[in-house]
Amino acid sequence: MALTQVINAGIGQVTDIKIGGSGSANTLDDYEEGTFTPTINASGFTSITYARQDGHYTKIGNQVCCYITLQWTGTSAAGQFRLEGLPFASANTPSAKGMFVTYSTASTYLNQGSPLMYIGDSQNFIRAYYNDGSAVNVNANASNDWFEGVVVYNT
Amino acid sequence: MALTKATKEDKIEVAGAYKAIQIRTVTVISEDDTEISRTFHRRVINPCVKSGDNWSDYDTSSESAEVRGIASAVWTDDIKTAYKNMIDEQEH
Repeated sequence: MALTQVINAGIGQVTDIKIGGSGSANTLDDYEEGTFTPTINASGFTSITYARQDGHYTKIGNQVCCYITLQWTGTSAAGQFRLEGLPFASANTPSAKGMFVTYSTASTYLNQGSPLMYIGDSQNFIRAYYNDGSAVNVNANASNDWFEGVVVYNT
Repeated sequence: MALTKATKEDKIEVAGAYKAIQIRTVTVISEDDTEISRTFHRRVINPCVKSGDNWSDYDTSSESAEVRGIASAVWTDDIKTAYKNMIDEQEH
């Protein structure tokens, strides 16, 4: 028989929960689900319009997981694929923070290659790179281009 | 039976060395003053914005008075310079 412990706010907000120990590393001090509005940015992009612009996040402790779907039309892009609007700034500490792309028509490499989707320290956007470190540009003129992916980083 | 919808910025946080401002907006749906739904939407604003190779200060004119006040207090010239340098250094 499953045992379920319900913690509610009936006696005031629970500020943290200790799991498996009493130290700070055992403390769950934050949980939140919500939405955000992701955007595509690239140098020169004009007249961009979105048919889909969905961002959902779950934050557990200092870990953020985001689910992104974008569909857009725009012209005259000349720069690196840059995904903006993440719901939290990343931690200012060297650590792996990034994304995997599940589907994209924003550039051939984003869909068929192994792009490096990089989030720098203290940032709330993602930049795309080839494996050699050079920038992945978006299609210059997008017509209902599509992008889906999952982002994981810490705060 | 009356349904009401209320939206407000319920949490404004200053995060990290470069003073990113994290803004959470809550939307509460109530029925006869009893809450039946609560959802969150988040965004982050930074002290400066880069377009191409050009930097500009973030335009706070469309933000709430509270956010404008916080931005004015924490986004000093030193913070702006440090943020721009950090972003430029991380780009390659």
